[in-house]
Amino acid sequence: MNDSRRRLAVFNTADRRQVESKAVPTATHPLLSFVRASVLHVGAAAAAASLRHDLVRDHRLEARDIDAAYAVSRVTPGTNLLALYAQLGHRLGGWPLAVQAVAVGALLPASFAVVIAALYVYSTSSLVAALMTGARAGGVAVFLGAAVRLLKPQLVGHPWIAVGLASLVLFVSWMFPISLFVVLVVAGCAGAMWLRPS
Amino acid sequence: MTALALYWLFLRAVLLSFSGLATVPILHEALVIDHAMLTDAQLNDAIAISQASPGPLGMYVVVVGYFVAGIPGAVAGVLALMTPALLAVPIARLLLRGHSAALQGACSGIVIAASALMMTTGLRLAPQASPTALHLCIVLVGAAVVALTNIKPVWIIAAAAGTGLFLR
Repeated sequence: MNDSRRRLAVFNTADRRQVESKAVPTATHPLLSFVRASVLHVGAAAAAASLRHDLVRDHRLEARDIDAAYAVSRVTPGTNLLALYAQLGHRLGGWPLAVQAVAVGALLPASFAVVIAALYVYSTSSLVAALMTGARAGGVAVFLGAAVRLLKPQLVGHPWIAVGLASLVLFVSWMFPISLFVVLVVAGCAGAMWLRPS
Repeated sequence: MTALALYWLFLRAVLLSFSGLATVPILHEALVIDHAMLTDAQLNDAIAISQASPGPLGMYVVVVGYFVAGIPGAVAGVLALMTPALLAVPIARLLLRGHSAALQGACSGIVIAASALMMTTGLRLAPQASPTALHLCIVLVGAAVVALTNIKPVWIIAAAAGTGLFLR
């Protein structure tokens, strides 16, 4: 009995040590989570989910903190995933880790994209050309679908104003050669006046 | 166009967008219509290539930069994506202080306008991307699938590329 108790105590101590060693942040490990999320996942949602899983599992951040950062990243200009990386990096290691995380999140996928683009540009195979003809149609499909998905959450608070604004912008941009920067700035001002959350 | 000018163009586009592909209308206007440095086909290619590689959808900007100015253009694209991301930290602080109602409203307005502009650009790009009726079907069905389901875009691209191979 004593022997089994001693074994159990040793096991518990070892288990606790293992858990504690997971919980203690190291200098390099958080960045590895960003690297893994950036390289192994296609699309922002999958990368964000991977990063959330890693950081929560390692007890670095609470799930609700990551969710709050994700919500903020949705309303910041630019790529949402990189905005999320910046916020989480800043929370984990200040500005140095924020910059490193954004650099990792941009440079690694960009390298893959440039390599694929170069292979495509220098390829003379008719097989690649046929693949790209289909992929172009798929790309436009994803683009149009993404436009609808982007619009849908905005219809919740002020649906009629949102539909009216979208229809107006669609009409104006289709019919007139107006600067898109002007359209976006005017829409931002209109939103500040009429689309405030209640 | 120099890499610096390209960076400035990309940065302005990214700063006024709240989604990866929302920059497409601005870059289409500047690079395809105004400067004729890029074709509709290349823009479509860039979107398709970016969706077949890891990372966010906005990474197509890097491929556009590569098509326009080679590696320096791609670097300009990467830097333009990185710069606004660091604004997220001060914006988060601002939102958490409670001065957010007007800011959130402005963001909503820009997102709505961006989605409408994306539809306009998508409708303009569609004829080039659909030389046959079957390609047009791919565009319509694929758009509906992306809009209404949670299927990942990479599968749409893969299926569309496979169909292109079949139609050869």
